[in-house]
Amino acid sequence: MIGEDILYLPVRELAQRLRTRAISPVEPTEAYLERSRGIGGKLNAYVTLTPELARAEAKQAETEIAAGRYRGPLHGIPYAAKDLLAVRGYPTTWGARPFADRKFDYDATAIRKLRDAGAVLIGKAAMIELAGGMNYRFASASLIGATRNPWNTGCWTCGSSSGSGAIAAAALAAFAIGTETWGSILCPSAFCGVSGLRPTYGRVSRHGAMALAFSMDKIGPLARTADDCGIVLSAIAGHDPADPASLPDGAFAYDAAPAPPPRIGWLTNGWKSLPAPIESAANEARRVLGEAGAHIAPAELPEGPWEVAAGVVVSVEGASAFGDLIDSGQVAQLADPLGRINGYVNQQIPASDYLRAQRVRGILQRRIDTLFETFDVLCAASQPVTATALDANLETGLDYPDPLGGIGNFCGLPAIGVPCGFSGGLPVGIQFVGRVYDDAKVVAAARLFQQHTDWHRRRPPLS
Amino acid sequence: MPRAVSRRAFASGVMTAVTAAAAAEEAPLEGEAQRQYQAILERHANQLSDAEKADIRRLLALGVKGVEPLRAFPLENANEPATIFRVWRADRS
Repeated sequence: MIGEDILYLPVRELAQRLRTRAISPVEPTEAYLERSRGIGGKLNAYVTLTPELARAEAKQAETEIAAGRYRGPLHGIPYAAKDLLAVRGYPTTWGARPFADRKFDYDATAIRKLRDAGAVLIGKAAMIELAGGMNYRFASASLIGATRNPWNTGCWTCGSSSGSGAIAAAALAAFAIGTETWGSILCPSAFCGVSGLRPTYGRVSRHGAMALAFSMDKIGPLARTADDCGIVLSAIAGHDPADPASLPDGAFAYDAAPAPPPRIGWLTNGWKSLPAPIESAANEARRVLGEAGAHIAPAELPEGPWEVAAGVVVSVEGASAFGDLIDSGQVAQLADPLGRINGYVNQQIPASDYLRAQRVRGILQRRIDTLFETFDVLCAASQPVTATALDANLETGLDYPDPLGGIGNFCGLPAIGVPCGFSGGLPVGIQFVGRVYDDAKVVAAARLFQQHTDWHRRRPPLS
Repeated sequence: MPRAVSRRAFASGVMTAVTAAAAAEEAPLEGEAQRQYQAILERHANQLSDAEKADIRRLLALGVKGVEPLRAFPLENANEPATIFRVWRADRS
């Protein structure tokens, strides 16, 4: 069995070993499966493992690579997918008890694209029920309970891509697919100390994915490095007529060559306040980026009711997407006390507020876009807190204004979060947010940072 | 996350959360929030416990208060919604 040093390799380095046949795809697949059963079980990282499918895909990759039919850097690479992506013949639970036994007879487009790239699916990652679409008060708001943070198992991984964060951090797979409507990739990447990429809205097809907020849902990777995120995005991006929001020119041709030094807008109002250790880590990241050649200047987000408007849109679209569940009373089967009732509340939001929010959204799109005439990316700490306790009341314990997350998700901006230090043994991260379509620039900025730091190579103390 | 969309962003994020929440919990519902509460009871009263009803009252009060900045934001007649209807036919999608 191959060791931890191999399992923690970035995708690019693992791919090199597979391409040159130094190791077979079957070896990391078996090792990740065993680790996922053991450590993954302790962390509550998976809803379902897919060993039969994984072994078949790994064996096929082994045969093809041996025959010289190498598909690219994901060929033979084991990964996990958040359990809201349909995988033919396997349970797709959306993390929620009412859907615990549901199976689809087709694959989500993202799953199909990863299979076409030769990737090996080893399991369905745990998630917050309905991706938090009915809201939640506790980390235990999931079909299988709370996912534990690999850096401190008394803490949470954040959500809603809670299993995906744990899987990437604990090397239970080479990468994991998550989704974000508002914070569900960026927050787990921060809490778990991994790289997480939220692509431009519409770049990755949501066909076969659970809908939460039709106009805000995105699919993206959590992985060891920003470079890995770029590799995965290039495999899953592209136009798909099956997704009405899919960008006609959504393809992403990832180029890992050095990019021009980025113009970074360092946000002065990204967070209301930061604890000293997080502020210190972010300032050190700024220093590193400056020394690496980035042009950094202060930047300010526009003031306005953006978060409120984004919240109205998510709440109303979620109440519509899960209308049957709410009206039938099946929401009572959800694990979280807030999730069991909040759908009723969200159904009461007036249509006039929803439409007003959409009109405000149009104004915000233009205002935020002007910032990117000056800057390639905006940068701030990923979160103003480190991982919260497993039993924390999130209504009060994770309650702070998040203008950058609100604006970024409301306007469909790409973003990436990467680790930049630790506080109290828990990871701290920074995020880079870019202009619509500029996924390559956020990846390049994060890659520049990781070329001069080693936070992304740190491993949690697992046993 | 969207975690917490309505928790963090919609309701709490725009208010000074703790004080507003405390006030909302104690004040009787009135006006819009009361009408919304009645609408929920008309459809779902038998599905809700007393504790859940109290929590719903709290959330409705927070929601109505929280949406005030959105309603106060000035809009021009021609400010169109960000998501608009598009015509569709199968061979041109």
